[in-house]
Amino acid sequence: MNDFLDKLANVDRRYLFLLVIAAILFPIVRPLALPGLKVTDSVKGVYDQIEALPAGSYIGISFDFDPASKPEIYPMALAVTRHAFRKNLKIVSMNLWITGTGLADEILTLAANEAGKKYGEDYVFLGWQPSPIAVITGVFMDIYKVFPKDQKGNDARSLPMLKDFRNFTQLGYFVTLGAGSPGLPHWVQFGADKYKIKMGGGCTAVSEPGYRPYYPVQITGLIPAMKGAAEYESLIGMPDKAYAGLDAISLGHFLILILLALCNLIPFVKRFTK
Amino acid sequence: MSEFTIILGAWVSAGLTLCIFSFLYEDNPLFKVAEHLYIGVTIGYSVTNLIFNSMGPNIYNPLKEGNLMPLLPTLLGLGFLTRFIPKISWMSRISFAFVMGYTSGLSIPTTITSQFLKQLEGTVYPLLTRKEGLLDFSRAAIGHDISVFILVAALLTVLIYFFFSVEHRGPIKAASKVGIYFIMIYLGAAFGTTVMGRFSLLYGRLFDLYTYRAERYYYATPVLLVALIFFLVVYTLKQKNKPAES
Repeated sequence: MNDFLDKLANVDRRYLFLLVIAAILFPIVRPLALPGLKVTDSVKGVYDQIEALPAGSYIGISFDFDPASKPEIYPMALAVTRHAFRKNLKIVSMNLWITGTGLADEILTLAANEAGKKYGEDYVFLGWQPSPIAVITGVFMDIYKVFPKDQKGNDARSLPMLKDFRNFTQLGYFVTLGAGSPGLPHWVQFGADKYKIKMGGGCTAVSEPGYRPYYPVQITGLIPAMKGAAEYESLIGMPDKAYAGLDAISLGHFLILILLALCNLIPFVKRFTK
Repeated sequence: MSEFTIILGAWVSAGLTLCIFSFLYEDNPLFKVAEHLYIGVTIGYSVTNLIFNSMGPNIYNPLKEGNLMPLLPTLLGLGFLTRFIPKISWMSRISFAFVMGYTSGLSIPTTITSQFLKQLEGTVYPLLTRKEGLLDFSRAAIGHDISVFILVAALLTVLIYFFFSVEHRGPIKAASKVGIYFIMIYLGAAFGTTVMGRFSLLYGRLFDLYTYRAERYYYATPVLLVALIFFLVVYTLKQKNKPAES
């Protein structure tokens, strides 16, 4: 008995990697549609604010993530953008992470094509500029000083949508969808708190415990990781990649729980059987 | 985007993902190639974006039009590079002083407000849920009030745990012990969310690998997976037959 337990406790970790891959891959091949997704207040806090904006209002979206965190942030970014277009809001977007510029452009183009929106009239993508604190402070004063040209190289002042737009204080709502620093804390500190605008955010699972204290006083809502994205997708009635990924996450967590229980049980049983 | 580009992208994406995953078996040259490629592509992409989308419109274009305003920040920026030339490296101090002064001036007041005072407000807001001026005794309100009290208790006991000016005896010791439990609960929650985050990332890569297995992508995933396994077998055998270094 003890020999078997010793072998189990010292199993080659590569077998565990295979088990984890199998647990995540299984629901992708054969979706399980596990029940139990409940929309939380913090996710609804972002949804309600966008839902309440009248058509034609300006909404700011900052895509502050890069390809390394794409599976966590991309689905929520797409869902929020789709929601904004469905409400006929004018999107003023930018990003604080240089390596995420292509992803932000991809999200906007995809959602705009779906909704039949035109660049320059319904949305603009200002792109990236260095020094995040200076950029955040700058866009709340005069966006044209920070972004004289948009990401496509157009003169930002010449875009029809920005005809009456001068800075981010004119936004009806602002959302930052970020994977870390610079991101939500910077937008809160140098933007929303200082210039008194309403904002919400989306973040990775790792950042969630650290960002919780901002809700509900400093931000109206927080979309945490893939679970939050799945909740948002269900709120806008467009289940997509995050919603489908919940089965995989649940199965993966179940496996980790079993492994944790085993790790703790083995020494206990060994002591008991001595 | 042309069909060829999409298929090529799928092969590159699947190939690099599998190369990175091969590290789970053991360190090997394919993993190193993918790792270095990642760093190179990231730097290349960032520098290109910086030159064409930032330095171009903010420095080059205004200077070309006779606007000399960007000259001062550009000189301050160039000042950092003088660190590489010992004789004039003192000039970098001016640039550092500017950045430190500017950042401190901007950060200190807003940090006190946003990261301290407002967070304190958020901890206790609202301490007791009210409806039309009276205390709300609905189930949701009571649940909220209980969680606020737990939050306040956690805050105070954790602060006591880190308060070393008084000897931890009697009620202080009891409170600091409760504080440790709250810290442990936080660490557990942080670990749980970290696991969730990592699984989300794994799901993303596996989802793409599963997508690229299809005929449309000319079976990119299975073909590359077989090639990778073949490489790892040959590499492992070669490593085993290699004479040990003295």
